[in-house]
Amino acid sequence: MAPSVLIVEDEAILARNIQLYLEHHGYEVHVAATKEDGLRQFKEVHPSIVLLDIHLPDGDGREILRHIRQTDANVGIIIMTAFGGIQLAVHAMAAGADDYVEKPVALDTLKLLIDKFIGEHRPPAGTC
Amino acid sequence: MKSFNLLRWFSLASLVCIVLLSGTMAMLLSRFMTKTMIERDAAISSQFVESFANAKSVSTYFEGLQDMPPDPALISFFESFFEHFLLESDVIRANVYARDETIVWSSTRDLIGKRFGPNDGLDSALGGHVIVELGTVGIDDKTEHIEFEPELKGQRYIETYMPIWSGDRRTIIGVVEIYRLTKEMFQAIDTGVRFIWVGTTIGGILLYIALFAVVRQAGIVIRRQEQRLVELESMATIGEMASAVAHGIRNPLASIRSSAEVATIQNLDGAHRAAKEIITNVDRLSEWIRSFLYQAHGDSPATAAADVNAIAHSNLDGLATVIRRQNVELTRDMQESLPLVRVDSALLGHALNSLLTNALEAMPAGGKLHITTRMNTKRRVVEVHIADSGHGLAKHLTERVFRPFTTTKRGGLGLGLALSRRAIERSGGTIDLTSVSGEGLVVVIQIPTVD
Repeated sequence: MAPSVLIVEDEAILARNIQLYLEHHGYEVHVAATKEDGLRQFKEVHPSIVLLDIHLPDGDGREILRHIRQTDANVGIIIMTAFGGIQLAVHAMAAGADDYVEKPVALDTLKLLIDKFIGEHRPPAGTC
Repeated sequence: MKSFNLLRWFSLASLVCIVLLSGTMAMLLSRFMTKTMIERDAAISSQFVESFANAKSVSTYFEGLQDMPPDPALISFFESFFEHFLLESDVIRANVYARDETIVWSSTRDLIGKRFGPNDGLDSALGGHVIVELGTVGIDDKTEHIEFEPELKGQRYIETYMPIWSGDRRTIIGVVEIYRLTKEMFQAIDTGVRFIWVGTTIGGILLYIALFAVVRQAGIVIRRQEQRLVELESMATIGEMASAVAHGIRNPLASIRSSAEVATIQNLDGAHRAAKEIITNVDRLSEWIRSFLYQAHGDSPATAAADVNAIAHSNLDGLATVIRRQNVELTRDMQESLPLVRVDSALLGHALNSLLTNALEAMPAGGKLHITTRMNTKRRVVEVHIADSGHGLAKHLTERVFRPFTTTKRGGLGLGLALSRRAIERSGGTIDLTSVSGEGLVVVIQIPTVD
C-alpha cells in the first residue's frame, strides 16, 4: 500500500507541484489549503506524513501540529515555512515536528525526508 | 502634536510656587515675630507701671480730681512718677488719662487738661486691655500726637496704652499712654525680619535647585527611555519587515522552484502549465517588490485614478466562495456612475481585500456584510462603508491593523492596509475603524475624487 501524504499548504501552485511530484513517485497525496480543512482531512485519511505550512489563512499551522501530536505520536510531521529562523525551527521541533524545511524547498529534498521517515517507521506504516 | 517641555514648564511653575510660598511664609513669620516682640515689650511696661502705681497708691490722685484744672500737686506727683520712664531716653512722650479721657498729666505740658476725639486704643485700655500700636513720627499722626520734636520725624515708635486699676483692682481709674522709640527693639525686629527673609529666600532657592535637578534628571531618563522605545519599535518593525520579506519572497520562489522541478521531469505532464506558473509567480514577486519599495520610499504611484465600485465588486467576487461557505449574507448598496478617486487602484484593491477578509474572519459562523459606496458631494469625496456583524476588533487591534509589515491573511503582503492608509491619507482621504465589541466593525473610507 502506498504511503499517504497530507499537504497543508495555502500556496496552491506549490501544493500542486509537490502533489504531482510525490504522486509521480508513487505516493498517495491529499491537499488541504486551510487549517480547518487540514484537520478534517487528517481525521479522514490518516496519513503517514503531514507536510505542514505554518502561515495558513485561517490560523497557525503549529496548532495543527499540537492537535495531531495530542492524538497521534506516530505520524510524521514536516514543517514547511517561508519564515526563516532557528527559533522557529527549535519551537517546531519542540512542539513535536519530525523535520523542518524552509521555502523554497527542493522537491527531491522533500521526498528524501519523507522516504527517510517512512524507512525509519516502516512497521507502523499501513496500520494508520 | 508638539512635545511637552517638562523642564521648562516645571521650572516656571515651581518658581512661581516657591516664590509665592517663601514670600507668604516670610511675611507671616515677620508679622508674628514683630507682634510677639512688641506685645511682650508692652506687657513688661504695663506690669512695671502697674506695680509702680500700686506702690505709690496713685489712685488717690485720680479719684475726684478729673474735673479740676491742673493741680500743681498732681503735676509734681506724675512728674516724679514718670521720672523713671522719662529717664529712659527712648520714651518721647507720656500721657495720663482720667476715666473721662481728659489728659490729667502729660510730659508735653500743653496737652494737660485737653480731651481729644474718639480713640479706640484709649477706649480699649479703659476696658482693661493693654493696647500696643506702631507708628512713625510725622506719618501716623493723630490729634494727640501733635508737637513731637521735629528731629524725631520719620522715627518709628511704639504707642502703649496701659490701664491703671483702683487699689481694690475692681475698676479702672485711668490710663497711662507712653510713646517709645525703642530703637534697640526695632533693630532686633529688623534683624529678625532680615534673617527670616534671607532664610526663606535661601530655603526657596535650595528647594528650587533640588527640584530642578531632580526633574532635569527625570527628563533625561524619560528622553532615554523614549529613545529606547523608538529603537525597540524600529527593531520590531525591522523584525516584522524581515518576516514580511521572507514570506513575500519565499512563497513565490517556492512555487517557481517546484514548477521548474516538475517541468524538468520528462515523463510528467504539465511542463507548459509549470512554465506559465513560473511566469505568474515572477510577476507576483515583482509586484510585491514594487509595493515594498513604494512603502520603503513613499513614492507616489504613477496611476492615481481608481473606480471604487469596480474594485469593490471584483474583491467581493473573489471572496464569493468564502462568503458562501461561511453563510454570510452580503448586501451591496453601490451608487452608480461614481467619479474616479485619487488613489492607486492596486492599493485600494489591497485595502478593500484586507478589510473584507478581516470582516469575513470576524464572522466564521455566518453574519451580515454590508457594503455601501456613495458620493459625498459636499466634501467631494467618495465614501466606502464596510459593516460586518462580527465580533468587532479590540481597541489595540484597530491601530495594529494599520501598522506596516503586519502580515495579513491569505496572500497578504503585510503591507496592504499600511500602504492603503498612507495612499489614502496622502490623497487627502481618511480611513477610520469604528468597533463596538461584540457588535461588529464599521470601516469608513473617504477618498477625494480625481477632479
